[in-house]
Order: sequence, then C-alpha cells, then structure tokens
Amino acid sequence: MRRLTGIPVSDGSRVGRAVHHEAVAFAATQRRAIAPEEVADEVGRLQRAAAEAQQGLVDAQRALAVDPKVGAIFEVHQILLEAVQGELEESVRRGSSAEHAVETVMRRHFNRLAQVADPMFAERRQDVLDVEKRLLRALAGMPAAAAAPTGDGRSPVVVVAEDLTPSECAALAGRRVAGLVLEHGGPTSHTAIIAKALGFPCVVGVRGVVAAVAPGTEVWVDGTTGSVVVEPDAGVRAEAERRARQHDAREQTLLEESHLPAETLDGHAVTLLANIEFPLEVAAAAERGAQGIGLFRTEFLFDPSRPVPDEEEHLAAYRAALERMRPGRLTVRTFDFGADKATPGGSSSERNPALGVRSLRWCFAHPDVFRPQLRALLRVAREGDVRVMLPMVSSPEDVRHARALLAEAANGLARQGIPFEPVERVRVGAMIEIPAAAVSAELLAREVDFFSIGTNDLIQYTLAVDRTNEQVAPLFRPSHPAILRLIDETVRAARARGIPVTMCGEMGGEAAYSVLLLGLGLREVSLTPAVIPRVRRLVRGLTLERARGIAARSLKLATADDVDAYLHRALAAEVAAARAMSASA
Amino acid sequence: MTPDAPPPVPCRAVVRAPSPQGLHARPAARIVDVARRFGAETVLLVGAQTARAKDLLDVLALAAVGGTEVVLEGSGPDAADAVAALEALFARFHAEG
Repeated sequence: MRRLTGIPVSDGSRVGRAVHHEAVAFAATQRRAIAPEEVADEVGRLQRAAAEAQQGLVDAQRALAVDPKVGAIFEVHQILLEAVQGELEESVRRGSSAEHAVETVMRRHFNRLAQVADPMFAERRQDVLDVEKRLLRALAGMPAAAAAPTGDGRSPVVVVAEDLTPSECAALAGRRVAGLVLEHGGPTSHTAIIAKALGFPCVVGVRGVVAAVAPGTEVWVDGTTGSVVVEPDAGVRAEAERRARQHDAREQTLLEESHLPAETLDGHAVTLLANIEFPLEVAAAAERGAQGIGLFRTEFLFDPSRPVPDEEEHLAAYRAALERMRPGRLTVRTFDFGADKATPGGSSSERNPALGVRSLRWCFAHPDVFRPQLRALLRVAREGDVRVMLPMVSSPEDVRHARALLAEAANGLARQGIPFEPVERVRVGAMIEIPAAAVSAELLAREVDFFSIGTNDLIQYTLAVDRTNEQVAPLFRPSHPAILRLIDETVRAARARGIPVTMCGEMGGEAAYSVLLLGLGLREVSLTPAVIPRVRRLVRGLTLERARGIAARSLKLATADDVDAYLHRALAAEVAAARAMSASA
Repeated sequence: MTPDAPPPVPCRAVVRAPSPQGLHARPAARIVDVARRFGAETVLLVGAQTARAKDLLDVLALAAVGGTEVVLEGSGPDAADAVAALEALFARFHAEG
C-alpha cells in the first residue's frame, strides 16, 4: 500500500482499477513545406479541418450541455479556433503544410501564455493545446477525441495520466470512470472543471503517480483531501467506502445550509472565514458560505525553479482572490517559508530551522523578495478590504520593523506615481504562534490592528513538539491547559484593546474545540473550506452561555486528557451531529 | 502633413477589466469584434504590456484579472470612435456583472 498526495480539484471518494491514458503522439510532421501549386488545395484542406473541428466542438458542447461551465470551455475553444484561422491560412499561403502551420502557430501562442503570471490565464495553454490536437486529428482524418481507455468496461477505472486536455477529459463522460489522477495540472485547469462537472473525484499534481501505478492496480482516489492510495488494504478500503457514502449524503445538506447565518441560539454571530492557498479555492469557500478569507497563504507564489516573483505576479494572485470574495475581506499572510515548507535559496545550513531564519525573519533578511509583496499589498489594498498578516511575530519590534518596510514601500510607490492605499489605512495584524507573543499579547495588541492565532505552530512551540516526528506526535495536544491559557490570554488582550482576534489553525475546525474557543471569546474563525459547514451547524446548535460554561470548566482541568474527556461528555450530542456532516474526519 | 505639424494625439480612455472573470476568452472575443469594425489601430495597455485590440491572443496574453486598470489607445482616422466604442463595451461588461 502506498499513499500519494496531490491537489484535490473535484470532490468524492472512489476506488477503481488503474488504466493509463496515453497521450496520442502524432508522427512528427514530415512535410513542412509545400510547393506553390499545392497552396490552393492545402488551404482547402485546412479550411475543411477547421470546419470539422468547429463542428466537433459544437457537438461536444451539446453532449455535455448539463453544466454551463463545461459548455463555456468548449465555447472558448471555438473562439480560439476562429481567432487563429487567419494566421493559419496565412502560414499555408506562404508555403507551409497545414500540419506544420498548425504546430508552429499554436506552439507560439502556447509559449506566450506560458509567460503569463496569473495561473488562471496561464492554464489557457491547455485550451490552445486542445485546439491544436483537434485540428491535427481532423487533418489526419481521425475522430475528434481519443477513445477513452476503459479496461474491461465493467468495473470502474481510475484514469492515470501525465495530463489531459479538456476534450480528453470530456471524452470520459459516460464511461465507468471512478476517478482521475494526473501527474501535472493545477487547480485552475479546465480539465478540473470538467472532471467536477462529470462528477468523479480528481486529484492533480501527484508527482510520480504514472510511474508508481501500474495498470490494473487498485487505487483509491479521494478528491476531497487530495489523497491517492495505491493498493489500499482492507481497512483503508472500508474507510474509502464509508467516505463515499458520507460524501453523497453530505452534498445534499451542504447546499441547503450554506446560506444560513452562523449564529448561536442566543443570537451571537460568529464570522466564518476560509483558509486558502490558491485563488481558485475561493470558489469552494464561497460555496460553503465563507464570509471572507482569514488566511491566504502566499508561499505558492515562490517557485524555486523560477526567478523571484515580481510585484505583478503578487498583484494578480491577490486580485483574483479579492474579486471572487467581494465584499468579504482578504487577509494575506506574508511569506512564511521555513521549517516544513521549502525555503527558497537552496540548502539550509541551520541545525534547527524551526528556530532559525524562517518566515518573517527570512523576509527581513531578503528585502528584494519581500518588497514586491509589500508593494503589491499596498496597491491591492486600494481595491477592497485587504488585510496584511505577519507570521512568526515575537515582539513589538517585529511589527515595527514590518511597518517601517511598508512605509518604505509606500514611499517607493509614491515616487513612481503608482496609486496605493495610504499605510495608515491598511490593516496590519500579527499571527500569534510564538509563545512570547501570546504571553505578552497585551503589549502586542497596541501595535497591531488584529490578531490571528495560529494554533498549529503555537502548540508545537509551546509544548516543544514536532508534530511531523512520529515519536512525539501524540504529545501534540490542542487541549493542553497551557494552550488554553495562552489562547485565553490572547483573546482577553485583544478584547481589552478592542481589536479583532481570529483563529486560523486547524483547532478551530474540530467540533469540540470550536465550542471551547467560542466560550473563550473568539468570534471569528478561519477554516479550511471543507469544514465550514460543520462548524456552522455546530454554532447554530449552541448557546454562547453554554459555550462559556464549558470553557470556564475546561480551564480548571489539569491535563489534556481531562479536557478531552470532559468535552467528549459535555458535547456528545453536538459532536455527533456535526460529524454526521463530515466526509473527511 | 507639413513639417511643422505636431503628431496626432492618440485617443485615450481608461477602463477596468470586468470582475470577477477579467479579460477571459469571451470578453476578449467581444473586444476583438468591436475593434475590428474600425480602421483605426487600437491597443490595450496593462502595466507595461501592450495588446493589439484586434488580436484575440494578444488580448488574452494580457491576463487582465478583474479590476485591473486598462488604458485604451487608438490612432488613425476613426480612432475617437473606436476608443469610444471600446469604452462603451467595457461599461456593458460591468453592467452585465
């Protein structure tokens, strides 16, 4: 049994036998040039192929008429096809064979789009590729899309491939496809949209999957968590089936409840926000009724194999998320590299990276990388409710240093005449994850516009536990009395100063703990989109009075086990109801 | 044109890319459609990038996400009309939501 992970792009949990989808390789075009007397005929060939390709797109649109998003994809292909027709004909008239014209013209457009920063636009390369393939197939007299591999045609298959064009994915419709796993691909791809529309789980970006999965091997695809398990054992298989059933039941309730307010029975509103990593995830957040983004992780912008992201790349990403979340806020966490995240700039010579130059410290040490981020934030802050969140803050000096850099960035923009939001109007907050920050929260509260408690790191630092170290991982306990006290202290300090305090760690998403946090005074929680519905349901079933009682009692207990046992007893009914909603524990 | 005549001032307008989709294929195709009705050469400027309004893939390569500022410029005999038509198109994008 082997576990792989990737980016989940289409929900669901299914098991099937793997088949490989080979890319159709066209024989390298032998004929590139044609003689002048052949031009007229060749133009005719091209025009007929283009007409056939257009018709194929119209047919595909009709066949998948169910989902308007899918129809839109093929409409885009039609637009592209029409747009390049002139260029293609021009190329043929200058003596190129139709195939060579298609390859060179489409390749050029493909490369141009490769240079575009915004992932959504860059993914349009797949559309260009799809149109190219369609034209080449038409010229070769082949049917519009490759026949989908379906194994023995009876048991459901998991299609494994390097990548698929939208058309190839669409061709899987009506076949018994349990899931789709791709080596490449991003969350914004049209292929992902089609997989979603066709209703099978899809995970992309699974490095090594083609090599790891031999045809015929059993594979579990969990499109909700992004997990791909090769040859699952009996226990895992049972889990897979359980999730599949839960997923179906959940889908129904999800839609019904996402528009309801997250309000306690005694009328206290809780703001539910989302933690995201890519702009596209905002759609999943919005679908589940997220009121804004409480954590937008920005590390994805930094690809070690490419040059430092420039201001425009930052801007494109922030705008994309902001636009989709309007009027909800967008809280951007500045670069948080280090420890378990890849640190750009090569090998770490530090013996203890978790306590070393990471995150905000790294940014201070690399102003050439930090400055474009700050500039982009100041610029986009003009366009909506954008808040800046600083990770790994340990003291007022950290905040002051960051603010000084923001002011410098503002001056730079002002000198260049580029519009931006005045620094004093930009909300800057601190992540409370280093114990020093929690313990001296009262002092820190004077320096920032909001707090955001990052329980993942707070727990690790406070309990001196590396949660990725199997030997001590069980010691990682959110309910440890020390953690509860630190959270309590942080919330008190924030309320005394009148600044908002959010929680963005995983603790907020766990049913029992979210009650505790509510009782401690938290009114804003930022969650992974998948758990938003269950927390909403939980909040709606509680009174604040009860939550406060539970929190007060928990603070008196001596150990994490005592707290967990107490919460389990006190909240048995609520937790069961919330769990009935969840597809992924 | 006499040697002393100043060069023609290009017609100009500033608009914003529609939200949330930005200048994706469909809005881009409409821009191209409108631009092609005129003789003038019109361009879209986003930051440091220029795109010929009559060329779909040029416009698409701008990757203008929702809210991005776009400068429209036209030169040629019916440039004023061309720029006005494009400006009106962007207004329709926003109205359509």
